[in-house]
Amino acid sequence: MSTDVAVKKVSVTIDDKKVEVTPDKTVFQAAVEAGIFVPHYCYHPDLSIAGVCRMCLVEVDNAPKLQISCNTPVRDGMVVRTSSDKARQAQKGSLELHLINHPVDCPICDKAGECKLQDFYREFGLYKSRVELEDKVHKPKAKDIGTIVLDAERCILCTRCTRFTHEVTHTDELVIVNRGNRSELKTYDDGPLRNDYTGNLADICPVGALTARDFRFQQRVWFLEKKNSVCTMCARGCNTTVSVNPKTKKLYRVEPRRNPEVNKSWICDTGRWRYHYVYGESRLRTPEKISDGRVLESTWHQAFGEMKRALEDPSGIVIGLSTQLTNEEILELVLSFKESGVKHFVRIVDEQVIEERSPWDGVLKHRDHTPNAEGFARMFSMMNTKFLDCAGLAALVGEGNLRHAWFFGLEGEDVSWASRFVEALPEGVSLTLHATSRLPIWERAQWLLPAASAFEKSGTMVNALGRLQRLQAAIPRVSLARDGHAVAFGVQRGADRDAAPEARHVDLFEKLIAAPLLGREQVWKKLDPMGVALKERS
Amino acid sequence: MPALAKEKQILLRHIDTPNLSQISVYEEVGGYQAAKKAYGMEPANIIEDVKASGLRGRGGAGFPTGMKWGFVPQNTGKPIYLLCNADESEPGCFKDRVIIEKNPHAIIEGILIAARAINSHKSYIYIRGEYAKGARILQMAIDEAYQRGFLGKNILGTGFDLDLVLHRGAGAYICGEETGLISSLEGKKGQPKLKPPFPAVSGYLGCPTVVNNVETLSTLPWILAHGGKTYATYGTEKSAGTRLFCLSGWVNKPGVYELELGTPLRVLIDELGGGLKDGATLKAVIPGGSSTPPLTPAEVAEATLDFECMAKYGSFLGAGGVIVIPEHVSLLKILETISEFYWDESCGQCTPCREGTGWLFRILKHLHEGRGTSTDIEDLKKTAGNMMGTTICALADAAAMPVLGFLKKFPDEFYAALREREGQ
Repeated sequence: MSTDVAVKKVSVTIDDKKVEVTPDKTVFQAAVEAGIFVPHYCYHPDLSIAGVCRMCLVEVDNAPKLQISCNTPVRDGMVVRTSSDKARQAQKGSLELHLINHPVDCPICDKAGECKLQDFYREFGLYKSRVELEDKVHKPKAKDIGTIVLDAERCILCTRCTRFTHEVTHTDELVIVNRGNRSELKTYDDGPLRNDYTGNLADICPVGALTARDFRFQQRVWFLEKKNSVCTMCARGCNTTVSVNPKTKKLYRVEPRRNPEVNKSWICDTGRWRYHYVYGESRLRTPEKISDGRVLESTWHQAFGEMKRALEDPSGIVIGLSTQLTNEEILELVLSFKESGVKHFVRIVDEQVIEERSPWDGVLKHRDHTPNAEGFARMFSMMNTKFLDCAGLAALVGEGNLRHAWFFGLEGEDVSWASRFVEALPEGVSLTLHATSRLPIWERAQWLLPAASAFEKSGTMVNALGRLQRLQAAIPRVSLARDGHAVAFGVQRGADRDAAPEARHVDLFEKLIAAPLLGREQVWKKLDPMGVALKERS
Repeated sequence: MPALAKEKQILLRHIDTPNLSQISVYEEVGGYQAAKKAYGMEPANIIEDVKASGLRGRGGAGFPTGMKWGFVPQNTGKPIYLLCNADESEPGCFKDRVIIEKNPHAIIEGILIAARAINSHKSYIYIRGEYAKGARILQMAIDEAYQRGFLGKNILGTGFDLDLVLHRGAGAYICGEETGLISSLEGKKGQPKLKPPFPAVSGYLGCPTVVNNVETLSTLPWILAHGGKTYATYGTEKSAGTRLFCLSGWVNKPGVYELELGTPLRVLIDELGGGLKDGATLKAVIPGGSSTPPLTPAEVAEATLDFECMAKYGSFLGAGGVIVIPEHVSLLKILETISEFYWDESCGQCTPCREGTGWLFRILKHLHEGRGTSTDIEDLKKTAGNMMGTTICALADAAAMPVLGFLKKFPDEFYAALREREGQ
């Protein structure tokens, strides 16, 4: 609970740097605030304190005994040395002890390049090995525990993972059995992991003991570049980084990006691993025209031409917009079709969950698999435009004037929730679908237009917590996939000139969206990478 | 000798009385009178009396008992727990066992007094699993005490309730460490807990908790009966009273002896213990259990059994385990055995202890088997040095101290092991 009463801060001097912190902080947290790095394995900002790795030992007020900074509360006037000879010696000593039974199989370890044993060895170690190889304690390697591969020999027993399954998922699959240097990380009863957040275990493991099966032997991490984005697999909008090999421009993994207000340090396995549809078999790569059950590869030029012609009588057209589209896409498509005289807009959303009272799974996941229902509502209210739900669409069908339904922005292979909107259309209505994937539920469409996936476009979304966040393209659009902006541009002109302005989303955001949502001007580039909490929708 | 005159005066004064473990016999020799006295006193006055006695914990750390009780907050609204540590596991120590098996009611009476002092209504005795006979005797004593109204509801008509439960451990050394004991009693893996918070504030089940050793608690009836000031007249300024010493090793009469603190170590070994067996020459003495650094013969000749003197020689009284080592026994073998014990017993949570104990044992094993290398002694010192004071509990120190102590005081024997190897 926040109060307006200012908490009196205490002053701590760390490595001759003075820092003012609230009295509930630990020395470690104060060092973080002072911008001083203290080596650590077991400490994690979103887990309880274990205090077992003994890497963050520091000198406090010249006391003879070193203290672990992660569990030492700050005191006013405290003087801390994180890199005095004594502290460095202890950190180095602890690191050496971490490594004595470690297999050092870095050449075949996926963690190499982002392993804290490697990092700290370079930073604090650099001693000669004093242990002969045959002396090491051996433990099981490469054990299959489901989505994750467990290598007990590489494990340094920091207990981050056991704390994660105890404190975050409350599933307790991971345990440390035996004692002393025979301690071994195992799953309970040797069973598989049974939670929806297993990928985080590979992230929080500071070494290569828990690696993600999905990423195993795929890429050396030093070949990858990370781009900040947000996850679009549900209405939570977890902050992410997307790793891409800049040479091949291929996407290799999605990881959480810490945001205490949204997802702490976690994302669910869906958000992490469902990205494969981007390169999937079912991915639409070119516009397709379907007539008499025959699929013909076509062109955007032809598709746009037909749509432009249909727009000559806009009263027979209904536009469906998926709540997977960005705010900018929604705005652009609606404004553009309204200008052409279209009057009917449908919100394509998972209607079964959108009104649920407790849509959360207790950790992160929202039952709404679409990321931007909240942004959709805000865009329509900003534009003073009404939208129809599925029942509204059925009523519109009942009026008998409808000839064309154009649905935009359907993303992914798990969109069964959208089928009811397709089923609401009678045979006489021609359906044009702008989607990322060719799915059986789209069979009745006359046109399938390849949509850009969330990894191929930029824009903003508003999550279910009312937070405006920025999605950033990480990879180039696959084949002929187009985002909503390019589609709106093409339909207006009735031809594919592919001259849609590249950074259309920036223009729209800065000129039309920022001020009404935020109540102030906002430059796209300077939008907080952690997003901005919006005032509640009236 | 004046020291001898005070032998067996407090803890062991009735130890040879037949059937002392029966409540009727215990009461015949004056048992439970001190508890009755305590229940007529204000808790604060009990604490004051124990503070005045200068009693320090007999489990090894030697923390002043009255002060420990004083840390317990009385206003949290949570229950306060009193835990009796009967997990005596340090190699060389077997004194609590004598009290448990011979005089269990002294422990229960001590618990009654301590519980009254800290306002605890639930107490546990955590006894090491191997003490099966002791557990049987203690349980009978507890049952008797319930029957006689010394435990349960409305004790001695004072309105004070106290329940006492005996809990058997499963054989881990680390459960003798007070927070390890608490973890184990909570049903968790026996691993020490981070401090802060300290057990006095947040211990068993997150409630204020005091953990006292068997001997400490058993001393309380005498202190209450005779007054803390009288107790303080025994011993030295900083080491008040008497303690039990467990004499073992190459002596004629090993056993548990009660001595006034400050008594010369030679009195214990030569007079009570009857000297070394077969007239052997003394090589070293471990004064306080396997974790304490050894004393040389020259130090033994001068040493007195008190906290101050041991500190002077870089060692500790620990839990009173005096181990006598004769000339013909290999210190390397002894140290290897000690290291193996701590390697086996390390709980494994803190890296320096988990990995360090194994490394020390490995090097000592190599040395002892004649496979040592020239850097081994430096490696032992460095590794032990990196373990000192760097872990949650004192097990890493307990493993490192004897290594550093033996190497410092008897370097020749270790270098000789290396030379032998090189001479081959």
